[in-house]
Amino acid sequence: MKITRSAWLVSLALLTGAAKEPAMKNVPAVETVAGLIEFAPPAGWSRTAYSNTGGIDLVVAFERGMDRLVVQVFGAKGSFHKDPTDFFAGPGATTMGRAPEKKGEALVAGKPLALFRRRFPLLEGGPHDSTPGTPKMGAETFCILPPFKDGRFIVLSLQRESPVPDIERTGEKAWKSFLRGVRRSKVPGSP
Amino acid sequence: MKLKEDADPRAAAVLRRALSDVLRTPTGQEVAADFVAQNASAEVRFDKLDGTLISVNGRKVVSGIRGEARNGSVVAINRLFLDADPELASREMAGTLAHELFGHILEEQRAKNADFPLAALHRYRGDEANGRLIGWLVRTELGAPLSDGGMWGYLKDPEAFHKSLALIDPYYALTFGPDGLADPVPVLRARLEQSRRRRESMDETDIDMRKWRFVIEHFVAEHKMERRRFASVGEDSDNFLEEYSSIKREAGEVEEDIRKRIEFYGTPEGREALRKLSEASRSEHLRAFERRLERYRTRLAMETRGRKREALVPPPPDQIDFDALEKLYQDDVRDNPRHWGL
Repeated sequence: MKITRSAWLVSLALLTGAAKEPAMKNVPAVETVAGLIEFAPPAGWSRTAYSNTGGIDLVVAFERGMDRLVVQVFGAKGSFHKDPTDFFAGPGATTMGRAPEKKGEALVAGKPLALFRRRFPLLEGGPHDSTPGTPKMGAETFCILPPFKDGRFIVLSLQRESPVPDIERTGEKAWKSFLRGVRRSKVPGSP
Repeated sequence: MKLKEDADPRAAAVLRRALSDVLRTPTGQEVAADFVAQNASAEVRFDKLDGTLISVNGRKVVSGIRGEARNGSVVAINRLFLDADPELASREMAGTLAHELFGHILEEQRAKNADFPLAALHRYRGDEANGRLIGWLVRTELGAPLSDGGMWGYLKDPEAFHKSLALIDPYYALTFGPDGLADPVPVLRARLEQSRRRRESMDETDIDMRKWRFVIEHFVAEHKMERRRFASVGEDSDNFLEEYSSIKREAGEVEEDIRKRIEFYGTPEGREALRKLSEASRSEHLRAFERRLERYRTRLAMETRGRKREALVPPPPDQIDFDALEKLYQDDVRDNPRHWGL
C-alpha cells in the first residue's frame, strides 16, 4: 500500500489520542518494601501487593495499562531463589530458558546496575486448551540489587504485558524515573 | 483404571502407550501410587471434543481441548489425537492423561476420602494448577519440547499467573486461592475493576498497533526497505487487530459471569455456599494441597533448569520482529526527525 508522507503523518496524529489516565489514588509519597528499599510510587499507577512460595517471596507491583513496575524480594529462608545467581538462571530472568540480553546500565540506590531484557509468554487459552503455535510474548527489563546482609535481594523490573511495544514509551519513562528514586531504606533495624 | 472399548482399532494401543509413557516418569509413578492408595478409579476413553487438526512445520497437531475429566469417574481424550502426528501426539497425550487422571480424578477421590466438599474443590484455583503441574512434569520428564508458555509464567510468578487467567478464562474467573475462598466477594469485585482496566488497556494497545502499521509503511515507502521483511510482524499485527474485538467480547462475558456470581452469593443459597467455602479455606486438606503445589513447582523448576523452550515453527531468519522494528523507529526519530514531523 503506497501512502504519502503527509497522509500517514496526519493519520498518525489522528491516532495519537490522549490516553485516559486513571484517577490519582491516595498513594504514599514514599513506599518502603520489606524494610529494605524505599522509592516514590509512580503517580497514577494502581498498586498491588502479594506473595509467592507460601508467603515467603514478597511482590509489590504498580500497574498502568499493559505496563507493570515490579519489586520482588527473594533470598529469605525457603525462598524460590536463594541468591541472584539462582534467580538469573531461572524462569524470572530467562526467555523461557534462554539467557537475557544485557541492555546497558542504570544508577540504582547509588550503584551502577546492569539492565537485562527478556521476553515472557503471555497467557492464552484455558487449562485444557492446546495452542501449539508460538505464544505471544511480552517484554521485561530488570536489574538485581546486590544482596543485603541477611541474604535477601531485590529484583526491580518493568514488564510490558503486550506483544505491542508502547510507541509513546510511557512505561519506560516511568521506569527510569522510578529507578532514579530508589534508595536503601533508612528504617531503623533494617539490614 | 478401565480403557473403554472404541470402534477405532487404534484406540486401545494408543491409550495404553500414553499410560505407559506416564508411568515411565518419576512424577507419573508417584501420582499413580497415590491414585491406588486413595482407591481412585476411572474410565478412560477417546471422545469428540472441541478442536481441530492443524499443520505445524508439516506435522499434524491438535489445537483445541486436549482432554477433560467428568464427574470424577471419566477421562475423555480428544479423538483428534488418533489422526495427529504419532510422536507429537503420544507426548501430548501422556501429559493430558496425567493432568486429567492423576490431577483431577485423583483429587476428587482424595477430597471425598477427606470429607472435603467437592463444591469447594471446584472453586479452588489449585485444582487446575495441580493438573497443569502434573502434566508439565510428565512432559518434562519424558523429554518433550517445553512448548507451553503457561508453564514458564507459572514457575516465575504463580500469583500473577492466576490473576491473569482469572481475567481471560471464564472458569478461572470464579476460582480462588485459600484467602479468596475465605471471602470471595471482595475478590470478585476487585476482578471486575481489573477487567474494566484491562479492556481500557486493550483500547490503547489497539491504537498502538495501528500506529506501528504506519511506522512499517514509512520504512517501506521512504527508506525503501523490503516489505517482505515486515511480513512476520505485519501478520502479528493483522492477527491482533482481528482477534481484538473477540478478546474484548470475551472479557465482557467474563465480567458478566462474575456479576452473576456476586449476585448469587447475595442469595440465601449463596450465603450458605460462602459459609462452606470459608470453612473449607481453613482445612488441613487445603493446606496440604498448597504444600503439594509448592513441591511440584520446586521440582518443575529444577527439572527445567538449563532447558529452553523449543519452537515448532521459528520465523525465517531475516524477518524483522517488534524489537527490531522499535529500534528502527527510535533510531529514525533520532536521525531523521523531519520524517516524523518533529
